[in-house]
Amino acid sequence: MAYTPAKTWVGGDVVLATDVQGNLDDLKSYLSKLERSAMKSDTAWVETNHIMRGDYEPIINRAHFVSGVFGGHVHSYPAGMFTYASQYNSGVISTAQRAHVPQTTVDIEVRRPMTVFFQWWAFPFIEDDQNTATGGSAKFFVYWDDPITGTKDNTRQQITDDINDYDSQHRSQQNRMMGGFSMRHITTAGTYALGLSTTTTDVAKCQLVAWGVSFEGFYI
Amino acid sequence: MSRADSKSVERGTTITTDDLNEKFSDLETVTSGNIDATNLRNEAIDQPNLEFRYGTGGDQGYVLKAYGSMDNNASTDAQNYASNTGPVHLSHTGAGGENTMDLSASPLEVKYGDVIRVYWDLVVKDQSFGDITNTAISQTGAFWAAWLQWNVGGWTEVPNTTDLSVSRDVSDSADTHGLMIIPHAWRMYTVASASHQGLTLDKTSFRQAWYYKSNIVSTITISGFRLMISGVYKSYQGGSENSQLNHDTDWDSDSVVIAQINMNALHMGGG
Repeated sequence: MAYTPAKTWVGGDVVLATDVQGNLDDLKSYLSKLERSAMKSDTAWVETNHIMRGDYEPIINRAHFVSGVFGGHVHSYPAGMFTYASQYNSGVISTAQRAHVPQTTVDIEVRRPMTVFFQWWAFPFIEDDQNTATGGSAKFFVYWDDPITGTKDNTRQQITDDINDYDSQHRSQQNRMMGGFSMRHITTAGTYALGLSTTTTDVAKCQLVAWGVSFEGFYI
Repeated sequence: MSRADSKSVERGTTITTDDLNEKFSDLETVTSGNIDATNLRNEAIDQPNLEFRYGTGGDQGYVLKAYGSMDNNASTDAQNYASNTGPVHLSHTGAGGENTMDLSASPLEVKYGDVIRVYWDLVVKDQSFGDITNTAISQTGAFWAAWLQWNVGGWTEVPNTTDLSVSRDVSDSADTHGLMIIPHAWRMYTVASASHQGLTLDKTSFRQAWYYKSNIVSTITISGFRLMISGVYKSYQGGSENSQLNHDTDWDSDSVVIAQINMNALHMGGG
């Protein structure tokens, strides 16, 4: 269907800015959802260089395109460079506290309202603190903007301390894969942080042997 | 190549209604089967050229046509799902939580070529296995299965998934897309106690995804997604049943306890 302006002026009409703007907005809307029947099929009507090129930021592995943004990090196994999440490197001493999991945060520069889908996985290993009286745990969450105020409690995943002193019965609970998803619609432009937060109590340390985070942001 | 030639209004001149109408009607004429680079002007197409909804709905309708999510808000709540009762819908909720992804207010209208992506994760909080001497727990490889249903005028299995209410041959992988396998309790012998002990999953998370690209010409209207669970299954019987998931009655008293469930769906434009 061809574009048809909503407003057609006749003699004696007062030209209102709202009418002109309305026609222009309708035209933009029409062009953004162009139907195949409206396009010329035998001749290219748009060429590659007519599309705004993407902007890739290699250090943080983030790419901006007209249609959206995507990126992420993966941390595999470089010996001795585990990502630690414990009360000893985070200062977290209470389950009510939240801290960043180092390096897992991604920044998203939102230039207009966007819907963001976030995925993460991590392979942890937790070490016993030799306190057999109190079982501890390392909990991981998705947070938005601020780990203290923006942690989503319902994204919690955790591994537990072995109060049985490495009883093989419980080893399987100490190093299992974690992972999850989170989705959010952002209405206001700006730079947003998104990543993993943690709280650990009564464990010697929790090390993430490998992990990955990724996000997809859709403008249109 | 068609071209929209129209007069531009010049400073100090008088504009007539015809002049003003022409600024739009000429495009109307040209776009009757002919949109070309000139209509879009010879400049890059960037975000300002694209339509944008200022609402909070999120979907802009082109790359991401729509999305949905659910959260049963049950990070600390738990629900037992006993075996051998047939598949049941994972339906428990915490305060303010949901037990399905309800899209009925704005159903997904999936057209030919569109892609549906559904992701979910859940936490197994505990399992029970009954008597340690039961022969069932001595068998390795027992598991629970969770899979996806959608509401397309009624709840039914999503494509490339099958109802596992009875034992089934799953040698065709098209029956098991997005199938979530949850290991059941198992038994091991410990030297320290000189006896068998049962091992169960505790606060263990699982995640899975299902993808579907519609090859159906007619529009599919989806008003919800939900998770089903059933068990306990044996994975291997030997002989001609190697690809069979056997829904077994040996675990009559066993159960699995599910707590937190999250689910997200993305409807991607493709057609």
